Amino acid sequence: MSFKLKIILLILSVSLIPYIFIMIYMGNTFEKTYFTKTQQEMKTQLDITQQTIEQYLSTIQRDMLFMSTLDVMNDIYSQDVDRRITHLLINKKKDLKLDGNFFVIDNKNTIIASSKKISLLTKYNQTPFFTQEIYSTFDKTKIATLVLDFSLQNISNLFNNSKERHYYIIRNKKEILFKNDSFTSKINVQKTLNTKPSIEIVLEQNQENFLTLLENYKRWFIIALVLGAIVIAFIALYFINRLIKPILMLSTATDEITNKQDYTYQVPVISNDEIGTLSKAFNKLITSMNNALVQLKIEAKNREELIEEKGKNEVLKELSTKLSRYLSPQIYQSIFEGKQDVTLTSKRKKLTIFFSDIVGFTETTDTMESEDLSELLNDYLDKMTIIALKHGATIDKYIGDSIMIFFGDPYTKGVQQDALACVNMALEMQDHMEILHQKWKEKGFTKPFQIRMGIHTGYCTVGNFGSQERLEYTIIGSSVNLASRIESAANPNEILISEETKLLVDDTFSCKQQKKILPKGFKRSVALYTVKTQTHNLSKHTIEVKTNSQWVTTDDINSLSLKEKTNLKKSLNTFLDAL
Amino acid sequence: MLKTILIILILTSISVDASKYAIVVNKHSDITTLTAKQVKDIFLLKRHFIHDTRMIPVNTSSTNILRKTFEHEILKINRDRLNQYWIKKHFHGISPPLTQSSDTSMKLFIKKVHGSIGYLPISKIDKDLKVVYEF
Repeated sequence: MSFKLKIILLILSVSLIPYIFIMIYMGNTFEKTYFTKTQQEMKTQLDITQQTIEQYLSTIQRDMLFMSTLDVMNDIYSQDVDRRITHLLINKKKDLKLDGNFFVIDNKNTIIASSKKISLLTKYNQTPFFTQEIYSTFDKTKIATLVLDFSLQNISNLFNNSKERHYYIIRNKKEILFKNDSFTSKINVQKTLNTKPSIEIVLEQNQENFLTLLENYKRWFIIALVLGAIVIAFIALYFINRLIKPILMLSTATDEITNKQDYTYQVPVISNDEIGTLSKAFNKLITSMNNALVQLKIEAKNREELIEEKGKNEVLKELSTKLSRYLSPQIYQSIFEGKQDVTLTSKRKKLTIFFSDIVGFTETTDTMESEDLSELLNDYLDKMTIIALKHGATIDKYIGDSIMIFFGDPYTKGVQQDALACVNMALEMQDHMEILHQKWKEKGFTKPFQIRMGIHTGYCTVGNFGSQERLEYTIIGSSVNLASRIESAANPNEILISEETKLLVDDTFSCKQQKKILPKGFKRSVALYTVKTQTHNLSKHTIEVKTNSQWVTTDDINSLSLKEKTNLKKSLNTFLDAL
Repeated sequence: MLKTILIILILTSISVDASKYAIVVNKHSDITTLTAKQVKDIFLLKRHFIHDTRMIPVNTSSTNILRKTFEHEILKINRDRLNQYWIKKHFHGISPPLTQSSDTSMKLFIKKVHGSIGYLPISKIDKDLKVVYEF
């Protein structure tokens, strides 16, 4: 059931049902009122008539009493009644215009005088209407009785009968007189008169005209009822439509918005009542929703773009991850963090350059299977790369068995620290070769690789070199060539460093001048130093003391000179303080 | 003419002969005689009892010659004075005596009513009545 139908039914039930009840109640009340009023009116009329009749009868009784007390009644003694008493009775009958007769009967019930011409001295054997005893005026003895034969016609003469109302009399509760039998439908009221024998007067009202009137009234009443109901229904519908219209508009708006997804739709506000407020609130809500939707669309679009971009980024990331394997992590990181542009730019910087290669690699490749060689080489390069990255090196390139590494770009901890890191790396690589040797031996490679390493610190040109289509991040310069030459000059398992590097790491590592070479393409000879690890090849109790820039190594502390002991103590204290 | 005079004379003689009247009462009454004064007092309702008998005076009708004679002979008051007398009495609640329309009814009344007293020509008096005074 729709809301509109519910409202219609509600309002119609609220307005029509009471209306119909009131109208029916009024109709019934009208009928009852009519009857009640008519009965009251009839009672009043009957009361008046009763009073009139009783007054009339009372007059007769008084007259009879008066007559009974007259002196002439003494004539009864002299039996000379046919003169004065008869005359009196006749005159009284005339006066009262009576339909009936007075009789004077003696104590033996014999008629001794009468207003009627009948034979006197006969017995009176009727039921008198009124009786009045006659006493002698002088000694108050009852001498006779005055009786009245009274026709009820006398009373009916007092009735004010009309077409619609008629009186009749019930005598002795059974004998009905003067009844109008033409009334088929009637109402009546009745009263009992204080007479003997008893008389009831009934006033009867013809109901036919009233019933006709009532029928007409009922017809008009029904017409009025129906018309009233129609008018009420129309008024109710008009107001319901007015009331419902904004709600229907809201409903339509909801459908429109739902079906067409048109959140710009606005409900017309046609009233200032609660529904108007609701419409305004609805419009505000829809506007808010529309704004939110627009915002959401923008957000979605942005998100879509973001996802798309993210997708691209993911691809790029994947690609870059792949690419990163071909690049030094520092270079890769530097480029991808945007710190370094991928353009043809270069700068001068002081770097520590490291070169290493495998001694006799070419000969080895001839005797080994390519798969084994590849495995060995990859294993070697993998481990070396891990060590290099661990120390913060920038791996420039792998050239066959050679590795070119530099420290100081793109990240630098300072020239000295870069040099220290480079030397540390070289030492660790050297150490790690022992482990690789052991591993390879277990795998059956009896001829393990031996590597040589060269380190030089000097100014280089570092940057992107190549063409616009292909760039290479690398270093160029004489320092690079020198580092390569130093590496070439190194013996197997030897780390050779230039003097520039030695000066930077001298305080940390034990360096010994090895030789001087004149590298190809250089005009000056270069002094080369070997680097020893602090612990490398030393027994558990081996002590290495640096005195006057000279390293002294011994297993027995007592063999040290006093100066060496003092220096050692000093160095250890400094070291302990630092810890 | 002579005949007429004779008739008048006869009638006059009759009337003279009938001019004897009597006051009568019921024969059972214990009254035997009354004086004219007593009769007058009874008929003017000045006296109501004789011995222990309540007296009920009865007049004939006012036009009756007997009543005129009675008023003239016994009451000795003319009609006008008598009327004035009864008017005065009326204001005291006393009405004139009863009347009977005829001698016959007078006779019947006296016969029936104990204590009643009336007047009749002596010729009409029978054994049921008692004469207590004559005039």
